[in-house]
Amino acid sequence: MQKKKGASSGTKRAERISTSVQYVLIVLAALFFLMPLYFMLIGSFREMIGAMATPELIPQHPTLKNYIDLFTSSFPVGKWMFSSIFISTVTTFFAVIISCMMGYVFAKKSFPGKKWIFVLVIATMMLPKQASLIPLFLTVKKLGLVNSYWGVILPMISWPYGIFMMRQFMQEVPNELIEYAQVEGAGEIRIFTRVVMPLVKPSIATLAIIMFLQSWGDFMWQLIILKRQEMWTMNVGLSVLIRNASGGASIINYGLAMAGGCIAALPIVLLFVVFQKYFIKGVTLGAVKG
Amino acid sequence: MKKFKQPLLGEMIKQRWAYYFLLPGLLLLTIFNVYPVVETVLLSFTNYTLNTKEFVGLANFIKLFSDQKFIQAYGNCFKYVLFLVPAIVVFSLLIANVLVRSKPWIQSTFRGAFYLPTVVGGVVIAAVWIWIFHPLNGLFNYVVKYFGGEAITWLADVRYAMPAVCLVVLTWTLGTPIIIFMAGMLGISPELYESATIDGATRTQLFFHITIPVLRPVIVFILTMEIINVFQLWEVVYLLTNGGPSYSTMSIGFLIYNTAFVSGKYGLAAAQGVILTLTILLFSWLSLKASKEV
Repeated sequence: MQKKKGASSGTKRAERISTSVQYVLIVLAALFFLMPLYFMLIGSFREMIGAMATPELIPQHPTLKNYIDLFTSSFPVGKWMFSSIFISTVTTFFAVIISCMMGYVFAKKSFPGKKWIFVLVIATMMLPKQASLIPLFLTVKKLGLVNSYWGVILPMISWPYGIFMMRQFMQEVPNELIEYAQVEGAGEIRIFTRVVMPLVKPSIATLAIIMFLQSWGDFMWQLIILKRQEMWTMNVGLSVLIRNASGGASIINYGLAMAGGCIAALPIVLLFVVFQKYFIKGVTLGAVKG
Repeated sequence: MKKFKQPLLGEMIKQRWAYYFLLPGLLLLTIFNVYPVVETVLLSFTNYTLNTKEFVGLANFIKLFSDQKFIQAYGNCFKYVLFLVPAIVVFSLLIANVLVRSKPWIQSTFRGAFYLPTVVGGVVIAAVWIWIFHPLNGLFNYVVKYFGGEAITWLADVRYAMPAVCLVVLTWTLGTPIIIFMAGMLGISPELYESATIDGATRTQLFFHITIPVLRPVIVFILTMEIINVFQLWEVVYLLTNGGPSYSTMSIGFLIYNTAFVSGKYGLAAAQGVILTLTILLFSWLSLKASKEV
């Protein structure tokens, strides 16, 4: 570096300018990404019907009308919120248990057929949802689970990505600890619950967060299974608010849809703000370590 | 035979706990993931509707290849992939490349900003974009008119509807690849860059001769995942344009949903699903193969 000091000062200046230009572009891009969310937030505090729906950077006549309307309308928004939280929590709980059990076995045990079973699990990760949609619906219907939370939850519990993720985490558990527990005479279940699980606690948090996000963001399957209005999730209910706003409905009420959007976004955004570290870890794991 | 079987069985009994641990998950996976895929293939050879179910051979596939709506949706999906996948990969690489050289607080702030739309999800995002695109009072036309342009019916004009959908998808999906690329770039040893800088390499050269080659496996991973995702594009189309105008934004994912759950033609929808799956597998395989040869 010292050698080229004089010669490269020109290029250095050019680089400094290009760096500033890059930062300006990044800031503009970030603003563009956040712009819709900003307008949704302020739009939810405005009346945005018909000609009143013009853009305002700062709401001129802020009002809680949309929120009051939403909660006093015929739409059971409280129940939608309950559905979303219930489905995501229960799915996450069972998915974590299943992923830990399977991940542990794939990482730490050797047994006949291991390779093939693992390939099968990974292969299901590559297939599109639409490839199994119809038989899946017919199966759930046969089980009598249409219009039931379990019809949404059960198909999501065994999540290949989660199993793969836990296998990666479980590989970091030292074999010596497991062997030591075996020598001490601990049974398999005891080893799993008392030795292995406590060691992967932070990883469980990561998996739980990603699973919760996955389940919360699901939409198509919920739309197919949950037919009764009071069972809808936030996503399904919100989609109806949006389609009312865009479609043939006589009253086009954007403010109402945006208020719905804000309510739907609130829990997951709070979760993201508090657990950002785990979100990032969960997202990067598959690609960078796998 | 016996000599081989005995130890295998013995080993299986010895390791029985491994199978016990796998059992609940595998059971669910079989019922809800593996069996439906097999059944989809079987259904695609039937005319299954609400009241019939007969074997019809390849009739569904033959019908689809002369079905204008299906052909258009299939073509649309290729347009989506050709436009969105390169855009996602290039933009997220460039953004990650700038952020990775920044201070930690800048990194985490911008990472959060770009990831937030992904966190809130496609349905929430659609709730505001439907207004942004509004022909009379929406934000985009406000800007267009401010600069003296004519109002555009973004979602109802064949020329603008698909780019509009793509823009929404782009703002909604860039978060994940940015985070993954940043993690990958942070993993590259700084010595690699230092020695190249001493040799007088510029930032651009570093990017193309060190960052890109080292990150190649990660880029291939993102490329494959995004191809799979974009081919399945659905909810933004459903919410913003309903597939219109005149089918110009219809995706296969949405068409399958319509065929099955609006028209009740399960057999035909299964055939559409089979074609989509084969296409996705073919493209994933191609992108893997191409990446190995380059």
